[in-house]
Amino acid sequence: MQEQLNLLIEKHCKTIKEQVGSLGAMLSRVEAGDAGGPQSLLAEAEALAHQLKGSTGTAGFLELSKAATALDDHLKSLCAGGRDFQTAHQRFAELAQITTAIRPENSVLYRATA
Amino acid sequence: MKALNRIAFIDDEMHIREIVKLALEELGGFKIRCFESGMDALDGIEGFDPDLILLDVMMPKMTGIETLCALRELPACAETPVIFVTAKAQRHEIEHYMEVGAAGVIPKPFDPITLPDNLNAIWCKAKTQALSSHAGTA
Repeated sequence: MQEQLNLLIEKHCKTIKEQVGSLGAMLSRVEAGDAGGPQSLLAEAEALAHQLKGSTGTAGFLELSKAATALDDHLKSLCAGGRDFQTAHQRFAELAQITTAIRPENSVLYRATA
Repeated sequence: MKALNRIAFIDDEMHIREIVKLALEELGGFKIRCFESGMDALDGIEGFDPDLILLDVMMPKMTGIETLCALRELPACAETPVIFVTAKAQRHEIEHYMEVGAAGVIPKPFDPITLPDNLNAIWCKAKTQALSSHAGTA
């Protein structure tokens, strides 16, 4: 089972980087006041952060899950009418920094096999 | 009491489905069928006839709670224990899930390695309660 689990974690590593990239793009568009409704984009960004929180945690990337949780919590407050985009930017930057360095070995579930 | 064998897992996140399926099959020895949405589950779950349903709460188009209500309309799932998995696990939220008929709630993120044991524990408790309830009305 460990080999199969390792493969799933390796695959998920790649997806995480893509998803965090998409999240960054969404947040940039929200801040730029992109046409199409910043509120709906914000909700979309929050949904993606929420998804990342769960999937990274389940895959054993605990630090990443914690950063995604912090961002998700703040995006929820923005969706509820908050205006503190600076904190959103900071929390996203923390998430992006961890993601840049992420490797399968960072997962607590990943074990090297012989 | 019959042992837990067949588990249906409904979650829109592919990576979670893959990891959970692997853990439950390899560590728990269960037969698993995954569905990517409530609608997908409604289409195929009766043929699978699960002993237990593991259900994500936050899903697009059809939420976990909406899915539960719809599943209860299917004869094969009318009394099947349902466990919610969710990152929305504040006390008042858990109380709400139990009120709508969940047998248990597992907060996300969860440890897939201990998931088989957790599911077994909740399922046994649900079955024991159901047996006691039936005995009481007999």
